[in-house]
Amino acid sequence: MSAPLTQTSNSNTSIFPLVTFRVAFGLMMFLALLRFWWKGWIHELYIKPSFFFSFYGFEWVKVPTSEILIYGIFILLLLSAAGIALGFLYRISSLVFFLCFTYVELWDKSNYLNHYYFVSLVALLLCLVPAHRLVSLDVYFNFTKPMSNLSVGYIRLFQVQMALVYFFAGIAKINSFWLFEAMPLRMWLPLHQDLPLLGPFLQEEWLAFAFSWIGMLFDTLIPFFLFYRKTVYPAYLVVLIFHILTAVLFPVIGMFPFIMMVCATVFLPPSFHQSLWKRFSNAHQVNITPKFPAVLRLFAGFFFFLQVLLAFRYLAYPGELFWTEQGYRFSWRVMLMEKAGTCTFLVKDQSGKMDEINNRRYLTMQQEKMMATQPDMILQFAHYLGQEYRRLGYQQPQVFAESWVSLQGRPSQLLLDPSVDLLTRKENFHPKDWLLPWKP
Amino acid sequence: MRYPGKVESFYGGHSKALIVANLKALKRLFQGGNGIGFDDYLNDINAEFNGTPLANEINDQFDRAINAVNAIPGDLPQAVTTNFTEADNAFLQCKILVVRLKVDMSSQLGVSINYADNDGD
Repeated sequence: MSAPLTQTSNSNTSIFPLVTFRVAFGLMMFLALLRFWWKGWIHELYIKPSFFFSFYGFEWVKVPTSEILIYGIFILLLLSAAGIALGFLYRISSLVFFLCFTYVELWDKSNYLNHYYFVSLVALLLCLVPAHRLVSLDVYFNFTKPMSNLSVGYIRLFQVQMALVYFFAGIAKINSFWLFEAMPLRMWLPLHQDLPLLGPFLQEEWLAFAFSWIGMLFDTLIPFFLFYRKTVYPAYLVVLIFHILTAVLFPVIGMFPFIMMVCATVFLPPSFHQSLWKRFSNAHQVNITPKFPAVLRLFAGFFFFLQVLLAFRYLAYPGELFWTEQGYRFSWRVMLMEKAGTCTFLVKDQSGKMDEINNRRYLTMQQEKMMATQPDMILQFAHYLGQEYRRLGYQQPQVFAESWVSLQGRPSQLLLDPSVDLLTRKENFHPKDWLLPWKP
Repeated sequence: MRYPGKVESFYGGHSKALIVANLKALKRLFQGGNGIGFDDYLNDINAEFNGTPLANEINDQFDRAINAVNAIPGDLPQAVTTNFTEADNAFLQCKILVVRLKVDMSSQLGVSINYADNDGD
C-alpha cells in the first residue's frame, strides 16, 4: 500500500491521504476565517483603511467599497471552506475558495504573510485533484462516483508543495545573521523568560544559537525524512514538537504552526489514513484509478518551477536583501529579521508650499508600521500623496521621504535618499537606485 | 513657506514652555521617575548604540532636544520666521529623539508593536 519515491506518478495508491488533507485543510480554513472575523480583522484591515497597498502588477485588484460585499466575500470563503471539508460541491467549493482567498490577499500587501501565500497555493492544487471521491457529501448524494484508489501523483503534489516550503525556509536561514549572530532569536527569546521550564534558559546566548542552528537544520532536512518511508513517523513527531514550540514562543505567527502540522500529515503512509477513516471506508471499495493526466504533470512542473524562480529572484538584485527587500516576499523567509522604522513624508510644490504628512491621516497604524521599512510601499504611498496634494491645489508637487530603519538591532540609519523626489521614480523590476546602502 | 500659526499655543504664547514640559515628562517616563524605567531595562539587556549604552544616548538626546528648544530666542511663532536656524535645530533634535525611541529603543526591546493584533511571520 505504501508509496516509495521510486514509484512513478501513475502508480496507484489509496485516496485516503488526500481525504485527510481535504477535510483537515477545509476545517482549518473554516476555523481560521472564523477567528479572523471574530478578532475584528475584516473591519480593521479591509474596511477601516482609506488607502490600500496593492501588489505590483495587481493594481487593478480593488477592495470593494461596499462593506456588505466585503463581508459577503468572507461568508463565501466560510461556505467554500466548509464545502471543501465536507466534500460538498467540492469542485465549485475549492475553486471559489481559491479565487476568493487569493482575491482578499491581493487587497493589501501590508497584510502579506507567507502562510497566506501557502494557503493560496494549496487551494489552487486542491482545485485540480479528486479529493472528494471518498468520505464526502458529493459521494453520499451520488453527485460523483466513489473511488478508493488514485494515482500517487495527486498525493505527491501536496508533498512536494510542503517540502518546498520547508526547504526554502531552511536555506533562507543560511545567512550570517541567523547562524553566526543568532539574530533575531537572540533578541526575541529573552522576551519569554516567564515561560514555565524553558523560560529561565531563554536569556542564555547559547540557547539562541542552538535554536537558530536547529531551526535551520530542521527546515532544510525535514522534507527528506518525511519523504523516506522508514523515517516518516519520527520525522512527523519532530514536526509536531517543532511547530508547537514555535507556537508557544512566537504566538504572533498565528495559524502558521497549526497549518503546517495538519498539512504535514500528507506524508504519513496510507495505512495511517486508512485506519483514521476506517468507519467510512467499508462502503466504498471501488477500484477505478484515474491516471495522472499529462497536462497536470506539465502544470505541476511549471507551478513548482515558478515558486523556485520567485524564491531565488533576490539574486538579481544588489545590496543587502533584508535592507532593500527586493525579492523578499513569496520566498518563504519567515522570522528572519528584526526590523523597525519610522518614515516621515514631506510634500513641496513649485510656489513654496510645503507640508509634513501625518501618516495616520491616511494609514492605519499597522499599514504605517509595515510601510516604514519596506521601500516599495514607501514609493506607493508617496505617489498617492502626490495625487492627494495635486487635488489640494499643489502645483507639480514633489514628495520626499525620510525613513529611519533599524535592522537586526543595529543603530537606525536612513533607508532611502531623503533628497530624491519619489514622484520621479516608478515601481518596476529594476533595482531601486534611490535606496541608500546598508552599513552593517 | 513658513507657517508660524501652526505652533501649539499660538495665542496663549506658551509654545516653548509646553514643548519643554512635554519633553521633560517624557524623559521622566523613560527613566521611570525614581524607580525602574525603560533606561534600566535597556541597560539590563546591554542595548548599545554605536559603542555607548543606548540608554545614555537617549538620555543625552532628551537633553539635546530640551536645550535646543530653550535656545530658541523669543517666542516660537516669531522664531519660526526670524530665527529659523534655532527653531529648525529644535525640530531636528526632537525628530532624532523620536527615531531613538520609536526605532532604536523598540527594536532593542524586541517588542512587536502590533497595533492591529494581526498575525505576523
